[in-house]
Amino acid sequence: MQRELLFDSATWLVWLAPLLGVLAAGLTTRKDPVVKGDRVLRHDRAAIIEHWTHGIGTTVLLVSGIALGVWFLPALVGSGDPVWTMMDVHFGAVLVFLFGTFYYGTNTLLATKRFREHLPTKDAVEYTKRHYGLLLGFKKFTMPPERKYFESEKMAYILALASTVTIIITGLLKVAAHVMDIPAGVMAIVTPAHDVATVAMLAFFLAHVFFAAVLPMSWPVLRSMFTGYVDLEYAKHEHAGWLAQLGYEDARTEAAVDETAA
Amino acid sequence: MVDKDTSSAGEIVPAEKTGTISRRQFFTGVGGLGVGIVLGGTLFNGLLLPDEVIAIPASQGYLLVDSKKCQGCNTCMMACSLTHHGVQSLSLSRIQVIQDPFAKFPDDKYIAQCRQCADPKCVTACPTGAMHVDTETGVRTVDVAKCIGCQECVYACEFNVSRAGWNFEEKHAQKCDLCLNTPFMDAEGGPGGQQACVAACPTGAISFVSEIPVQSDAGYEVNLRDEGWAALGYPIDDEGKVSPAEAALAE
Amino acid sequence: MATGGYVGKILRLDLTARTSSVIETEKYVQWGGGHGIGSAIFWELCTDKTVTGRDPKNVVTLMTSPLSGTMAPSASGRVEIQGIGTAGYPINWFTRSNFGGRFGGQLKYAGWDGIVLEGKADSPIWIDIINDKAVFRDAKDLWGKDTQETQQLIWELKENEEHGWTEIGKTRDSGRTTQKPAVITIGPAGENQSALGCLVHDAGNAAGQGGFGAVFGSKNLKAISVVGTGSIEIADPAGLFNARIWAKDEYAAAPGQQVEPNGPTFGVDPAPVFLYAKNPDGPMGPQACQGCINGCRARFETGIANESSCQETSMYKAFDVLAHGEGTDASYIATDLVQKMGVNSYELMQGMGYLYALSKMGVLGKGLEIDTDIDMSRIGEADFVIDLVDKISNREDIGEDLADGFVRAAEKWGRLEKDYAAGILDFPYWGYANHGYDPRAELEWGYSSIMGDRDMNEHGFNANFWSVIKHMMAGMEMPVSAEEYAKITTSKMVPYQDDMSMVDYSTENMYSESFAKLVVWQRHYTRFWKQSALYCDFRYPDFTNYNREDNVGITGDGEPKFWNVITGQDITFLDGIELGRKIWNLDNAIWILQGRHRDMVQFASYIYDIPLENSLVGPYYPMAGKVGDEWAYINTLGRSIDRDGFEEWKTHFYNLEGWDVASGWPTRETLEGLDLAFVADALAEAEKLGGV
Repeated sequence: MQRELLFDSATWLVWLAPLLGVLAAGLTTRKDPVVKGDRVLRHDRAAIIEHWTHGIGTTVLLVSGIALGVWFLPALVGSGDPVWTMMDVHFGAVLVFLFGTFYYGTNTLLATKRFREHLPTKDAVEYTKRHYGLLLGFKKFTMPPERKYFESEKMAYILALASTVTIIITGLLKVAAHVMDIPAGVMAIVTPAHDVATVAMLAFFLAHVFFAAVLPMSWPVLRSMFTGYVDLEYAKHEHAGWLAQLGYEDARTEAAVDETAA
Repeated sequence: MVDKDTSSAGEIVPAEKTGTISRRQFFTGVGGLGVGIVLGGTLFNGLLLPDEVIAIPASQGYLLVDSKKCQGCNTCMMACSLTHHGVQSLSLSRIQVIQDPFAKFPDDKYIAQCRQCADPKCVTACPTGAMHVDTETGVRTVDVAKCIGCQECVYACEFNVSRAGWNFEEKHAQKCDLCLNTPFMDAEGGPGGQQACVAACPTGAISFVSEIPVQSDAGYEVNLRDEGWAALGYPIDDEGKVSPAEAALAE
Repeated sequence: MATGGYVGKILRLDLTARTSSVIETEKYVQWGGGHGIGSAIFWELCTDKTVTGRDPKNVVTLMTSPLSGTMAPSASGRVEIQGIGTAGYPINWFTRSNFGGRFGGQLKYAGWDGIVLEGKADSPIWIDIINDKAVFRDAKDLWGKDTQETQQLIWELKENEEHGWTEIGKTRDSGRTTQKPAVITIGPAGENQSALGCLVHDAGNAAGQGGFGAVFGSKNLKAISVVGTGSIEIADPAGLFNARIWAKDEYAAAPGQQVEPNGPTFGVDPAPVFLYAKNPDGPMGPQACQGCINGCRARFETGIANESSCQETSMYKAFDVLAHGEGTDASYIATDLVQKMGVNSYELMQGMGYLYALSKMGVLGKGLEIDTDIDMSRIGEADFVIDLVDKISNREDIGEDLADGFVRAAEKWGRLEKDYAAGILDFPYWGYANHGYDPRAELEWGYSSIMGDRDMNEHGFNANFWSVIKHMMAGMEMPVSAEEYAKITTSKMVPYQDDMSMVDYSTENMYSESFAKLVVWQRHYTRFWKQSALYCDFRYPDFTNYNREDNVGITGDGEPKFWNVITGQDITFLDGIELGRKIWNLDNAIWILQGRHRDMVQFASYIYDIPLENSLVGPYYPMAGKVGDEWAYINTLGRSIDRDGFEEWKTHFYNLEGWDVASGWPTRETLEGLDLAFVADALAEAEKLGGV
């Protein structure tokens, strides 16, 4: 026989989760990036929480959503119980995702410079060409002074932002459809939009996981997503522009000072 | 352009002030109030409000199918899939004829058509209102745009073969809508119009009626067999147990 | 891209290697469907056409048409099976059989237009087709089981029920159905490769003629099961629905009502067609093949002989009455038995007549010249037919002699010529049993059969015999006079529509060119519209239809209408007949490569030497014919076929076909005119091209 979905028996949690995120942001103390000895504080505790709640939420949402059948792709789970279980998993991930995303969003609204540092600058195309041209082995390119986030990452952020916003709006409407009558004409746009955003999100997700976690050269910065700190030497090479923003002086100058002192 | 960040680590970044409330205070307040409203509202709904009873209008039409008159040709099933989906398929038909070639008459056929229940479990089971009652006609049918593919309706149907079907090609639930939405049938459908299966059935084993049929758990009480049918050599009593030859002897 | 109605793929099974591959239907769409495609595929894939039916190199096709599984009335349920048979005498002709039910529809829903079987499995197998997957399964638990048990065992294997629906595959969207698998299977007779073995589907659909049971058995193939959850695209869906309603409103019997009797045609009511001595009169309900406009069978409160109608119900009639003075349950048991055991009821019917005659002559019996343990004095009882069928199925006792059919048994017993001459071996053409529509009376039945490879089993003109007989028995006047019948019928027989003498069955006309035209027309019409497009023989052609004011039937309009609305093509009735002519020429080329020549196209001797005095209903065999200048329903009994007259008639036939008159072989000119130059080349290489 059938059993009730969590989306129906516990809908209130879906409204609660984002509001908890907002509240939490209001109560959060932030630490700004700073150089500390041979390492740099890149992500404070709040950033780590934001990232992983949003990230794990996204991962489980993508897996469960695709398993349920997205757009023109058939479901991967069996009828009945497996579908309901997967929808409950999706529900759980929704809560984590909404908390994390609204926590991030509110934190960002409270310090809009954190938003600006995620947006691509006028250097976007040039820096990316130099950075990846060098990576691909074209020796004529030199490493640009990337800032906290690579310009290429900042361009990808636009995709992540757009798909996240779309997925949240359409997702909340889909949840609202469980408790009130939403016109079919609206749902006829909402669900396909949710699916398109899913595909966009998946594209971002795969690229992000590859570049940020799979590529060995990114492991230093991956570490910072757990510990908060990134290696100073690494930052000098990969994020020279960021260090300049933090007021850090180049080691060559210090060494020259040392030599003259010796 | 990006400015140098001149603040030092460890300090709470002062929020830009707008008026007497800081941004931080605003969000903390919104968050806290929101949490309170949600929790309070949930408590209220869960403990204090009585369950609503919504009256569901009756369907304005029902399909009577006399399985003893059915010849098992599946023309009704083909008519259904053709007029609704433009293709021939038995799996996509909203009326299902199930047979056992080796069984004894009248137990050799079972016809699972939607009974347009007065208390439609499929409608109440649907979380999004996709499976709903059409206000104009009383037809219990699916708003495809609202279906989330949870199949609760399929499992909620009270009868042994679910009358709420799963359209695995288009990925949504579907069921007999008395031909309310039949893009491939020229004639008007719905309770006020034509039903494809009724029109196509060669033996006249399906009949459309407007009043709720007399029924039990086993099915509608239906006997569409008349003297013309007896002339063909088939029984016309309700149970299908008295052949015309036997009836003639009894007289 | 295949047009509407076709699903685009044909399943090719190599039984030796146990592998499957796909043939694109597109390659064969020009041949229409059913028989046309089957012959074309056989021509290509069976490289040595002289092998016998039991040879692993025999290629068997089961083919649907674009109409299968659709709402086309009485054209949705049939499947055409072809290959070299085991029954034809003296040559195992490349032959055809056909069965109804729901197998064709399920095959189409599974995504297949047909199946090709090649080779031979090294141990008993059955084929399990579920949508696009075909799995070779071990049949050791099915081998030895009758057709009912086999099907029920296969049905039990399908699990995965979700609230009354069976799911295919493991996921929510992989497809579901409420329908049982459609299975075609052999019984023990086929397993033991008796030519009397046939194929059975559900309770009463059988491909009986041609000995395909033995062909399956020789390939170690027990059964083919198919489950399809897909859909068939239709070129004009609303048009198809409208056409079905048009056919129902304009031509069919009013739903659930008795109508004026007619032969098996489109307008009859769904009363079951029983030919028992005593028809069942207990509670029963109608049963029809998929998509039929009005069915011809029933299922019973007894459950005995479900879905059996027509000939298989008359199989034991004569002996039941002989033994009991009237019909009894023995007949129902006998009919039920041959369905379950998968034995050819036509062979058995005329064969029992032969065995009875031999026993009466003191030739067949215990300790006699043809020794058998079967108690011939029990003929007419249930135990007799059970014993005989058992011996046939297991090839024991005379069952071994009968394993290649009754005619070869007679030959084995050294009695063929004399028993033919005596008229007691009623197998008039190619070793096939007399259908009851004897060549001497119903001329076209014999002519069509002998010009082909088997008992033709095409009721188009026979319907008139039944129409007249039924009116006679009911004391009713015929709604059409013989002349009206002739006019209505011949007007539909394009391109010969101006010759009413085509349906003149009088002795004066029996060897005429006009009568040859009828048979030529019939070969071409049936080859495409019935055996390729798969319009059911029991409803088409519909020449005269008494539900209509003008008594004019649906044939000519109906056939192309449904074909076009489903496929999206725009062919005429005559286009179909022309394609039939092409397919007929290809078939003849195959027979010629098997050894066919005009000289061997001869009836059994009694057809020439013994006048026919009785029809299966008595001393009357009414067909339309002229008496002087007047048309009437004449009695065609009391004559035989004249040998010289038949030769004259054959010459007319070959001339009309454009074949060499001396050999009966098609000429290059005729073949090239049909785009069959490659056939002409093959015949030329075999030195069998007509006119060379």
